[in-house]
Amino acid sequence: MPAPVPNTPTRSLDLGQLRLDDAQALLQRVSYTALPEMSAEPTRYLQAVIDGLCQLSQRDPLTGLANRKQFEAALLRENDVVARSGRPAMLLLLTVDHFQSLQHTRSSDWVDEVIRRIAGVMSRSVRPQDMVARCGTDEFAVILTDCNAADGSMVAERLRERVEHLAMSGLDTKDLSTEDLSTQGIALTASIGAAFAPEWTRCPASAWLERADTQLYQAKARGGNLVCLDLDPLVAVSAEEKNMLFAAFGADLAAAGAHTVEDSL
Amino acid sequence: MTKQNSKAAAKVMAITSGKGGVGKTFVSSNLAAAIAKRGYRVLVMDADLGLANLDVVLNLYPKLTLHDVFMGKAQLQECIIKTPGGFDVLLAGSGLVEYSRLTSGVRDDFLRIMEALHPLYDVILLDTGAGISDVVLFAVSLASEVLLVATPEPTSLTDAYATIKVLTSQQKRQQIRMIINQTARLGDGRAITVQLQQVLDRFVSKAQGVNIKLVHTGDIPSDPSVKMAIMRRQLLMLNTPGCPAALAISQLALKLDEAVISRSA
Repeated sequence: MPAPVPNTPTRSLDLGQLRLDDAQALLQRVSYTALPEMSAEPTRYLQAVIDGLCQLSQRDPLTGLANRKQFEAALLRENDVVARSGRPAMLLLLTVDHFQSLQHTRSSDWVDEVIRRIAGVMSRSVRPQDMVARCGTDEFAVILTDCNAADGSMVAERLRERVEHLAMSGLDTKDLSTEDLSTQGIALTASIGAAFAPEWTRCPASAWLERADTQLYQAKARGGNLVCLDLDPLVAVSAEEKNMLFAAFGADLAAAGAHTVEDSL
Repeated sequence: MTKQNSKAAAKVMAITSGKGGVGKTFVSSNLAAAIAKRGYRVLVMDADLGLANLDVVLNLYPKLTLHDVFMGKAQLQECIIKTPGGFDVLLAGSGLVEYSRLTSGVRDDFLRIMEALHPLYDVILLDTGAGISDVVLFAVSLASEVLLVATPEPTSLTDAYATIKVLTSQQKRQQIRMIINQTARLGDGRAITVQLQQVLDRFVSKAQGVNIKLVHTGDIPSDPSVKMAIMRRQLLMLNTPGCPAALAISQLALKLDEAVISRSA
């Protein structure tokens, strides 16, 4: 039996030698989790500071969603998983319709509030394992893992409806109310483009993103407040087709082969 | 002695599959050896643009690849590798992973290479990627014959069926040759082809008003010699030429010679 490996002696950690003031201030101001007591457990405290900074570097400060950097890493990861496993995954890209005109006519506080609310709606509309990210001013992305075509379409449509409903629920900021929106003919709506990752096929993640982006462009071009999904119905194999395809498996395959089939010559 | 085609153009056959891991590269390389043995000049080309496993299957370590030709760093002839199986191989090189998205530049490069290769060979086998990516569809579109490799597993058959649907609808293919790999009993491959044909007749031919004909071209039986050859990174046709799988591949080469290769001469 091998002798147990002795624990490597560790030097005690002196946090006083580190310049942690800026990190502490930053985390206390915007961190999503509280730091433990420094003096009681210095190692745990330092780990919490590192974790907090890592988290901050991956979050969008306005909404708390994943930022573009984290989204891109997740997209690469998911693209690889789907290529290897064939497990379906859908990418949704969402932008606010006529956002530039909203920016030009509204205060930045109002615009920020709209973005925050959309982020909240999106987070609440998906499962915990899905990733919602803010990739640009009014650009959001969702990676729906292990998601079939029917569920993906449903989630995309649900998101579109909830953003549309957001305008009706009122925005209680001081300089704009729901009435302002309707009287000035401004509707808060979103366009969504979506695409499934290529299953069993090793394509770059950028191609997946591009296909979703093409759909988003089409949704915008068709007037907005629309979901466009890159789903070739020909590629999909229906349950009826599968049933017929596998009918011979229960029976004797070789006997089924006795039927006429075109041979090579 | 070679029995070269009297025509300048090679017969181009795409070897593809709906799903990865069904033995596509194994079929490509061993079929190439069997056709070469019949006296033809044969080239196997990595049409998966750097993601094919030809180098692994054939134990090759090329210094120059298609990537270098595309980059203008090498001449085409410098990248062609002679194999012990009596056929040549053109590998794409891992640098071409970036080309796995089909752009007009990649398409032009590919067409230029194909044009240069045509007079040099009687048969060009394109070892494509699995699935229905645009690169796969493009590679298949260059071939006059499509050989679809599938195994008798439900997932493989579903993906093969989806691939046939796409090839029928997008490329208006009217004939696809089926090779069923790893069959358990004589007649299983033919039965699978019959089953696929019946589902296509019912769900695709009627809907699209086209007649897609599956041609059962060969079965390759499950054979422990295949695994041994793959583990040794040797061609089955050289390692154990008398085993059932090797005999089936020889038979396959004979059928293709009579039905396709010599017919074009």
